[in-house]
Amino acid sequence: MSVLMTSCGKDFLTVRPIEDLTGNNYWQTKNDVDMFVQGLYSNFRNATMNHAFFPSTGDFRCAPINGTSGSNGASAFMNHIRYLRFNDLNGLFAQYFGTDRGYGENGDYFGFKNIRNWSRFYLLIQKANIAIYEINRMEGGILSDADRKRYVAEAVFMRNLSYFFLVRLFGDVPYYTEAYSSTAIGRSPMLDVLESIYQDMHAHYMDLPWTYEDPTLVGNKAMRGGALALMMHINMWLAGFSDTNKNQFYERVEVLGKELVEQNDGAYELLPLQRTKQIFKGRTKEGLFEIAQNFNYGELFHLSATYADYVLRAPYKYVTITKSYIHYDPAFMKKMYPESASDERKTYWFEDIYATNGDFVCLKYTNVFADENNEDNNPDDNAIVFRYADAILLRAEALAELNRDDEAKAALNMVRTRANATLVTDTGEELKDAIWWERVRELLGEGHFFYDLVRTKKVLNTDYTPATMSVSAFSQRAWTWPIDPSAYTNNPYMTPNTYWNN
Amino acid sequence: MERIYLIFIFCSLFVANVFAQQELSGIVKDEKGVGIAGVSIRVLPSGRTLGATNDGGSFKVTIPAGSTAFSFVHAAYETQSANIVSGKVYYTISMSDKSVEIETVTVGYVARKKESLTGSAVVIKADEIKDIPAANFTDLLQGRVPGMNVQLNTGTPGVRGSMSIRGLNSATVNMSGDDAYLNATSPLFVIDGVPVDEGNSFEYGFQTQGPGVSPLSMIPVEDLEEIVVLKDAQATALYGSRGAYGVILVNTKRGKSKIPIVSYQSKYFVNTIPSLRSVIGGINERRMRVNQILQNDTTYESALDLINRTPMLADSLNAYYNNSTNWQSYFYGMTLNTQQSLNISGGDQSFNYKIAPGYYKENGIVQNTGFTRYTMNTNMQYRPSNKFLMSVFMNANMVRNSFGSGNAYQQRGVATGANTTSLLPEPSIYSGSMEALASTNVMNDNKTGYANTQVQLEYEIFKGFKATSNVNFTYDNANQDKFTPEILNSGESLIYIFNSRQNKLYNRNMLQYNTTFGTEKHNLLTYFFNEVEMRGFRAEAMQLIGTGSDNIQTALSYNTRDTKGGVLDNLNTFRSASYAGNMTYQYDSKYIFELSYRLDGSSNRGSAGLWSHNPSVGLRWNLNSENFMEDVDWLSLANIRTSWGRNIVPTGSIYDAYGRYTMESTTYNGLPTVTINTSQIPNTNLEPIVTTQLNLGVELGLWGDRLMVTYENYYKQVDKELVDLFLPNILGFEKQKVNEQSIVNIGHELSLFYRPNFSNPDWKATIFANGALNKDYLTDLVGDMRQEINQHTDPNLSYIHILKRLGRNALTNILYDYRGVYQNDSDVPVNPATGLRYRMGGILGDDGFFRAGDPIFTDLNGDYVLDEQDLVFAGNSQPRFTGGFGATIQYKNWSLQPNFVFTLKRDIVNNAIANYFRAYYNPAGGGALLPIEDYNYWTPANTSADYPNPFDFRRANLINAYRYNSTLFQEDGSYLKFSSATLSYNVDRDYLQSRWNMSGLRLFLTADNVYTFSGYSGPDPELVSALGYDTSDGYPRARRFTLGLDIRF
Repeated sequence: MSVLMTSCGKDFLTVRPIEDLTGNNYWQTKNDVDMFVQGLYSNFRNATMNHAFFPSTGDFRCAPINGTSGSNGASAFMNHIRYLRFNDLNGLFAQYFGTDRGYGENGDYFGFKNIRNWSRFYLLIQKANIAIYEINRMEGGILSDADRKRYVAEAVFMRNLSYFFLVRLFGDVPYYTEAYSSTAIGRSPMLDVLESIYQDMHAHYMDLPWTYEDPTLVGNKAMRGGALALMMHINMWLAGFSDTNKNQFYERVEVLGKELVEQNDGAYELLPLQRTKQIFKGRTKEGLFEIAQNFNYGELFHLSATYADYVLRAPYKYVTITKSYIHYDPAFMKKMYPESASDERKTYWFEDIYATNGDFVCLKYTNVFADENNEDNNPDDNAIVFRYADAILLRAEALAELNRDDEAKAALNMVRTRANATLVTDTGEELKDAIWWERVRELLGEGHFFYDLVRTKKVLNTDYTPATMSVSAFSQRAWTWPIDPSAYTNNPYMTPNTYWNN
Repeated sequence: MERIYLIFIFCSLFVANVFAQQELSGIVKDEKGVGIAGVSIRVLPSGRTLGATNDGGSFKVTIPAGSTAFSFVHAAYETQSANIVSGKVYYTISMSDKSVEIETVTVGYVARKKESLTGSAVVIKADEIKDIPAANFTDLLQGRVPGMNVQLNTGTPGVRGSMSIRGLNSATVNMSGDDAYLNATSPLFVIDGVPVDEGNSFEYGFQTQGPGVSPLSMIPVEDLEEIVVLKDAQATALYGSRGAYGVILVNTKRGKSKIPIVSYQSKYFVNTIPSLRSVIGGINERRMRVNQILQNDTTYESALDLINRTPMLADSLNAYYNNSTNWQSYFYGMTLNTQQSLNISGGDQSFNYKIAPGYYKENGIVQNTGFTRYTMNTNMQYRPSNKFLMSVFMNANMVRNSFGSGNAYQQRGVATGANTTSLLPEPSIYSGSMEALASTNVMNDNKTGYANTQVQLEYEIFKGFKATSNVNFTYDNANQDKFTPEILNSGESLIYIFNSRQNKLYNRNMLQYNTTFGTEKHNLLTYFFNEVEMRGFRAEAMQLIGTGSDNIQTALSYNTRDTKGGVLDNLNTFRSASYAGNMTYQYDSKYIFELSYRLDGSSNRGSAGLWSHNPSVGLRWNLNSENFMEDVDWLSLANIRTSWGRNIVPTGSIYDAYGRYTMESTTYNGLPTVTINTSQIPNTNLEPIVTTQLNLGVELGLWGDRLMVTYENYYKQVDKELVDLFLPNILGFEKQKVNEQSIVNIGHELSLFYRPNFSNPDWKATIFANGALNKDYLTDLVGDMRQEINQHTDPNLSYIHILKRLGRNALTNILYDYRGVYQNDSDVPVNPATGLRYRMGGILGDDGFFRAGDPIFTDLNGDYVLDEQDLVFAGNSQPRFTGGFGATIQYKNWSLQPNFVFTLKRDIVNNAIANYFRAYYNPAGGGALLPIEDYNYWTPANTSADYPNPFDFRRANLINAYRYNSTLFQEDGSYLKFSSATLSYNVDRDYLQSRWNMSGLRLFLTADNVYTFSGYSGPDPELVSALGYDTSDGYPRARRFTLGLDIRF
């Protein structure tokens, strides 16, 4: 009788509200799943492109950049250029506690507090966990098995991508994968988190397609190439911070990279540099994972979010902006792009590459379709998170570390060939050095510079950065960001990043 | 005090016919003329037992001097008394068998013998309360049921006072500051066997939508038969979740007389206004302001400057202060009201009927408020054979009410306006007080229609085995039309229209088996029923601005841009299904053991566990049925009962359990996205609130039940209350609703009934008294916290914060400890380390240092700075001891019923007085001044004062001497209220019959809300919110005088 009661009672007692959707009448159709998973990408955009995220975390920290005199870049408004170059994050945040510039949304125009506050990433993680849980418990027949796996893998990708970003920002971070988690937890060791997210991604990446038939989705939704690139990055980071067993991680990178290059069914390729505008507009065969921006849909990044804003001037910007806000130390540029060496990237990607007077321009993101009559509009380009060239170079680096120099050179020269640059013939340490510089050269302005410095520990070495860290600072994790005090609220297990005394 | 004397005089009236000591004898016989042995003989008025009859029934006693009558008492016979007649020495007394009236109480939908109940049930006969006019019968229960705390905290016609059974059921405070209110935990009402939910749209909080007329105020008091209040878990468990906070059963009258009876009751009552506040008025107010400035400003020049810069003060001929109006006379007025009801009933066992039309009209003492009710209650019962019974109820009621410019609880506009005596504070137009106009000119017309039909079928399949079925349908429709003329709304009229409808279908089917076996000693009663309820609610509201003319009071406005309207988001569909069973075993009517169990499922619950389980168990020992008790003849009734039970209340909405999914405004890659609302994480493991109750009851009847004593002791624990747990920022969501808050109530209840025995049979009296002591403790807080402070969102600390700390009473005020006034500057303590005087925190400069006339607030941390570190925990807003007493005294055809209620030990925060003084903070500003000369405040001439200097306006905002959160305004709100008295006269029946052909005529006079004895300095210690705030903008309660008559044909 109780069975009868429970079964008929359940239907009787289930009420469907008509004014809003609840969890017990969501998750009923494929469209429900699609729109929720789509929301995860939107969350990632909110976590990274609503403030000066990529430039501040990846491009500017410990980079040989200077505010160009006579431009906004030299004004107090862009003091952060100097603070970031010298890794003075306390200085960076201190300016927003002063009497003249409040810490409010307006005072902190660049949204640095959103970098130290990790809650936007964790919102995405919580939602991804929910998506995975709910999709897996949906009744059969709504989704085909392949669709179900793909949606789950997309959510897994977004979750692990977020964790990877968090690890690179904060080192040890709280890690959880259960849906609707409501328990306060402390931070897990960085290497454990990385290993966990690698395993998690590895279990699901095969469910993702190499690419999508719908051209608008290419690069904008999780693809197997993006997942492979993510796992390669994870393992390079693991290798960089592991004292022993480094090779195990390099081996993984090599295997993943091999799969990416050799089995991609023609999904990915390096496009000719003449098509640079297209590459950075996005949705090409070179993009592995991108964040969508589209003026026509009203989907725009915050003005502070792009690297391009610092390195463009008229005619790539509004006519009154005659100088780029920053320029690189000429010595650094010359080391990266020697004046004598032939390299088409110098032509297609830069103007006045060694200039310090504001003529310097990096042309990677220049699709100003939005509004040419106003200053305050971003180039209408996607933000590239992982690019094919990036993955190829990671593989080259891993191969070189495994002392498989010939294969490493082959990988490296894939990228150089595209740029019509002279092929590298170095071996050993020189080859490794060449690969590192190739990454800087190829990926400048794409948010990789500082992380490459950190994971290779080259941040300790004046050859690679003008603002080196001491060994003790490095071991105290001077490469992290301070954790926002809001993390301690309602969480007794939380610990700070002590280097920043927060 | 005079009234109290009156009662004493009445009590002592029966002393008469005094005799000297002498020896008397006689015989006591039963109805057959056989002498009765063992009859104890007492003598009145002393009540002393002189002896007993012998085996033959004879007795011989020596009566003491001053005796007036005998009383003969025996357990098996009705107590008999006889007057002692001068000269008569031998008395023959005949005693009749005690008629055994089986009192039944319907508990768990089944009528049961009262002596078989193991739970706690209090029965109130409607006759005891019917003479007081009331829109809501619950108000009449005040002081009648021990442990039921009724506070008549509003005088709004038709709105009931607050009510709670056995202490505090929820420690959740909503909102904050003056607007804070407690989660309402209303008892369940079961009206003629149908559970009625007061529902969320009725009377809760200040944002009552629509007319706010509860189904309870649809029941005319005259139509009530009896009210049963079930308090403990054994009694309420069968009602399941909704019975957790007590159950109140209401039975309406049914026809039972063979001869049709037409009875008519008519009452006219006058609502008189309470004493109004005195006001200053006109030119005096200007003078006071000017004087305050001149005498208290820093310099004379500064004072002149301020006056000269304030035109209304500088110009002695200005129109503002040279007119004076006591607006209160416009707001408040005495009203004449009426209640008329007719009851036609008749029939016999096989068929009977009742038709009861009624009319109730009460105009509020505040202009433009009122409550009018039209009722038509009918029922009929048909019993063609002993096996089958059908009864049908059909009730159709309609209410029209108006709240004027206020709402169900507050008349803020009137309260503010009543202070005003002049044309200041100036309105936007030169028209006087806006509040005054609003209260009289806002048109607020609310209509509520309520239809309730019910069919009950009963069939006895074989002896002892019965099946019953009950179907009920109710529908109510509420509508509000509110029109604010353009003059009151910045030149554009405002229309608010609200419509709601609620329908409910209820069905209960029951099987019942009652059997006796084994030489009639064992009795077993079992029954099982299921209940299904479906309920829907939907409301629409519309707001229109601007109709072009005040003569056009509805229809579409021209201002369509600001027109709002639509379905309100509180629409809901609710379903519940329940299964319940009970088993009662009795051995020899002495030992009773009862088990009950109920399964409740409702559509509100989370997915984990659809059903909630409500078990209970009860034991009872009827001591007086034991053999060894037979010799104890002073003890006519004794029983002990104890029970344990649980009520499980599902909480939370479907959104709390599953989350709310919303379309995001932004797309991604041109595609729509959906997110889960991140303000609250879904909790599919939402657990129900668990109320566990232990009850111990002792009932004693002494001297032939002349004195009945009921003592009950309870322990009630409310666990898993739904509260917000704020989450760390790694979890994406802001908060989670979790079941982590517990309170415990421990209490004692005592109830006494006394029927004195008079020698003169013309006199009869019943005296009752009851009281309950309740203490609440907070035993669990959310997230392992040990204490929590409910803060007002406004960080400035002049609002009262509420402390919740484990082990303490659940709700404690946090206040500054006021210790009087500094008489002189030299009384202010000086910090020996710095040489500086004690000062206000956060203020630099000389004005921050305390000086003569400033309040003494305890410097708790000893840093010579007064700041939030110096707040103390003080006070408990929940009453500790409540109860009432009263009597019915009859002499021949006259009857007098006085009633008193009391509440002891309760802390009230008197914000009203604080506001009196705070009006003086700014003599050059708006607002109205009220006279304060009745208070002993500091002036240079009167340094030994109770209140600080109210005139030091330059420093008023720095020192904030009259801050709300000060123990200066926390007062003891104990009161004793002479709640009502009825004097009635029954016209002689024979005379009526012969002369008027009536079978009964009764005339009565009632006064209610007569007088409140209290040390409280505010107007009425009862007129405060559940959190004990007296903000003075409530609706005052009228004192009422009723003239009524009952006629029966």
